[in-house]
Amino acid sequence: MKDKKKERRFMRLKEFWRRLKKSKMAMFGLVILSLLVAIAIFASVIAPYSYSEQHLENKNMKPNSEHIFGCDDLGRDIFTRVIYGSRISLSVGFIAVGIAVVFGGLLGAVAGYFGGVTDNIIMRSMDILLAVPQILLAISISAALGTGLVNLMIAVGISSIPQYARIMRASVLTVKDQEYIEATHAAGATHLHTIIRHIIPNCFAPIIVQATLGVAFAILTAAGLSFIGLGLDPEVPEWGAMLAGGRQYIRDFPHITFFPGLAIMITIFALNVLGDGFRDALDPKLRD
Amino acid sequence: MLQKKQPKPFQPELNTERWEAKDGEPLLEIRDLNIIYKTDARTVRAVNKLNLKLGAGESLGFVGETGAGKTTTALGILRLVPDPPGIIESGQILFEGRDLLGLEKDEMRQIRGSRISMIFQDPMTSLNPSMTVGAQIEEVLGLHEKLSGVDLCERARHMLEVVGIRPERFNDYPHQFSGGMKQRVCIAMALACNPQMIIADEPTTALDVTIQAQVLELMNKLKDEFNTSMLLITHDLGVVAEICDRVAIMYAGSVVEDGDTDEIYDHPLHPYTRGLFASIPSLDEDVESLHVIPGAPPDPADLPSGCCFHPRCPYATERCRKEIPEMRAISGVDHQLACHYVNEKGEFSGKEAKADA
Amino acid sequence: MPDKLLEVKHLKKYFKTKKGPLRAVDDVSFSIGKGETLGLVGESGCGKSTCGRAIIRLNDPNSGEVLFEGKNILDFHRRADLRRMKQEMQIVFQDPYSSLNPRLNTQDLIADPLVINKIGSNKEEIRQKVLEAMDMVGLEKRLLDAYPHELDGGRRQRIGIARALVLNPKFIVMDEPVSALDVSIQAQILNLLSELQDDLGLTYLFIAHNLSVVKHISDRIAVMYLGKIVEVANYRDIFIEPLHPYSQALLSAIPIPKRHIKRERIILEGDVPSPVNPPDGCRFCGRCRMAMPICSETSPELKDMGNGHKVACHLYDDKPAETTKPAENTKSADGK
Repeated sequence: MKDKKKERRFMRLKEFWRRLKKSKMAMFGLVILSLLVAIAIFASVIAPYSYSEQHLENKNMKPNSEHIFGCDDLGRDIFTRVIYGSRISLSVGFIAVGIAVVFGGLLGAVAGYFGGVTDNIIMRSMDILLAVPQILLAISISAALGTGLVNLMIAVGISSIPQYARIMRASVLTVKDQEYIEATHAAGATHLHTIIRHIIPNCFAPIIVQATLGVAFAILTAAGLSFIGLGLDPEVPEWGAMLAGGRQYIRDFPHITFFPGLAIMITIFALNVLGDGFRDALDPKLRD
Repeated sequence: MLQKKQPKPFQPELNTERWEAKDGEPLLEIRDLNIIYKTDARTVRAVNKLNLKLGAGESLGFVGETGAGKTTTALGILRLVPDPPGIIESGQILFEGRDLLGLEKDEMRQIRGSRISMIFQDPMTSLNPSMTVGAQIEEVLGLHEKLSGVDLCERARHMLEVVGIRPERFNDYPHQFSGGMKQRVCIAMALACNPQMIIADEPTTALDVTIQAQVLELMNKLKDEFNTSMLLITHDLGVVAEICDRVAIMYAGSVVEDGDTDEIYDHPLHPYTRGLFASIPSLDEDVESLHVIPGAPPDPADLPSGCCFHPRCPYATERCRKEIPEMRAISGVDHQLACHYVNEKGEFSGKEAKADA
Repeated sequence: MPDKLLEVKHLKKYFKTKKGPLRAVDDVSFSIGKGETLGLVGESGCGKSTCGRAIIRLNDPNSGEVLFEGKNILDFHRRADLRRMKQEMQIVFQDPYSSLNPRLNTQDLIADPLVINKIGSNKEEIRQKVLEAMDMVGLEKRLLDAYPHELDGGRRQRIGIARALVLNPKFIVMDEPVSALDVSIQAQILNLLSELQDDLGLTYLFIAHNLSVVKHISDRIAVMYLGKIVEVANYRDIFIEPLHPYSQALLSAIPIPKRHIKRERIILEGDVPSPVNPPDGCRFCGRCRMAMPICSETSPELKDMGNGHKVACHLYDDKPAETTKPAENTKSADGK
């Protein structure tokens, strides 16, 4: 019985998988992303050096057989720092989006479900947040909270809450009018039961798509904040901070900025194509 | 009544050419048409060896349940089956003696809207909400008729009048019309170029009974006035009884029984047709429980072997499971059906094998 | 009529719109006896669904009374009372596609009302109840894990019915339960509903626009037009001798799947007026071929013409309310 149920769930995943597989780009993105996650997890195994160890004699060393990406202005191995950087970038990306999805989704669901005054209060506050460009918002939150990994995640997370709230609200509004929601009312269900069991599971597809693209944006924002000195200490191997650090040497030693920049680019690209693939695979209109 | 004053007589300078049938040749003849929808997971056989004839000036009711392939057939005739995933696999669609499946795209475009036009089920979505109804009728006319601006407008107004809408409403937008009125506009658009044939896909299903009665009456009148052939797709046997000369019953992608409406309604022979008639609650008899066709229509991606109806047929035998029945005519009347157990005299020799489920 | 199970008195439900109140249900009164089926017919927008939903408090009516077993359920405010009321009064919806949550399987769909009402202490008990309900509506046990999109319309609607039955209700609002189904499936579901009614002693309010379906299943039929009931009668009387001009037009408009029957068809002109500003007096006066001056002035009341046949029309103002009538109407073909 239990197994059968699991099997059914599995079947649905399989169907999703089958459609995702059709998009070569999405599969490419998925492979890259899996690689990145693996690199982040096994960073300590893969990295040949310590990310903070300075060897001033290797200052600005060009890529060579010992240091394949070269060394930075303090003589730290860039390959190692890029590897460790994936840990920070990915965790900032996923956790910041996690924060935004949970709070934004909940606010959007409540606003859409109850409507009226509740809807107005929540969505007008979201509008105020949306009125400020997202990057500026992240900068101000980050400036207020101070530097640090957790603060960075919070800043990026809060600044993307309105998007998720809007998407959630829009899909709740369509699901809310379905007769099966009325059926739960007819059976005497509480609002909480209706929202959690019947509404949210049917509104998740657009959120998943947005979240995948959102991770990319969060990584970029975090890198941007670090670049202007509002994110993390230069000590921490964060891609954005590394770019900032290498900026002054870009004419003479472009490799210092090139490799972290490439890492950011590849990650963002992978997430974006994967997000597009998710959207196509989850779109009910394309169902056969 | 709807039409207090008779509209102006039909302007003969417009395309009024009517195709001349040579000794009993039908206007439309579909031969062994197969249309499939192919996705990588499955192949849906929407239309399966379909044969159909429609004479000039005749109206044919095309009856079947959801998923029987009625709409796909209609789209097939106009070569509008969405591709992908739809593929017209094989067959012939002879219209005015030409095979539509062999025509160039341009020639086909000339036929659509001008020689064959279509009325859709949902009048709410088949009109463009951002154009006035007059402009929409003019647009259809402009595509096919060489008319000057004034003539176009004149003709479009005339068409509105024909379907019982005051020409003053020429510049109104679709949302200013009710459902029944919108369907009249759709009829006006379909008739604007005086087509040889109209395909009406469930034209009254979205309408209320009293509005349906208005629209049916209008269609009945116009059909004669314009001398147009009509293929009326519907699931309502009542609607067919109102306005069709002939009827074709469709099941799982092919026609199982067709013929003169009176003949079929008086002597339905195919077990499916008989089941269908019996399962409609009657207005003039009281019955405790309705006759039921057991089971559900087959999955068109996984059609049963032999006669497609055999899993639901109370008379099914081994032969029905294996052998696909041929369409055969009942002698002396316009009545054809595909069942192993009906002979040329129209006698049914099947025996109820299993108890009614 | 058997004992009244449900009595609706002066029920009103207005919706707020920018142009003023939309009078979806405007002063509707009727009653339904135990084990009886009342058919409620009318065209789209006449307020029949709103009425059905207001009775079981899916939307709260503006005024009126709904007496269920003698108690006015519109006075219930405590959660426990409401919950008991919702268990006894259930609804089956029209669209078997949108009325089932696509992410739940048969088991979870049918069990949901039990979970909501905290019936059944453990999973096994709930499962037993679900299986019982599935058995009642003729769903095979193997479909326990099937999702709605894997099932055909008929089976989906059976799930919808099982979901209503699992709480052991006494009264079910059938909101166009067969309109979305094909003819052959429709007959299966209609038979099922009749059987369930006989076996479980259920009472139905059967809402539909298809008159032949309503006639088949109902004991009495109420015809609704623009938020008002214009005629109520025994199912035979209303077909043999419709009194209200609207009922006459409605009946004559049904396409009958028979040839050689030529009926006098009354074609109504125009469309149903908007319920936001309905005509003064009788709601039907603008389209009525029998309209008299009084019709646009005062709104007619429902008047008993004998044998429980009630009509709201000024044509019958002079005729005394009859009390005697031939008790049994002989069956005769309608409208020949």
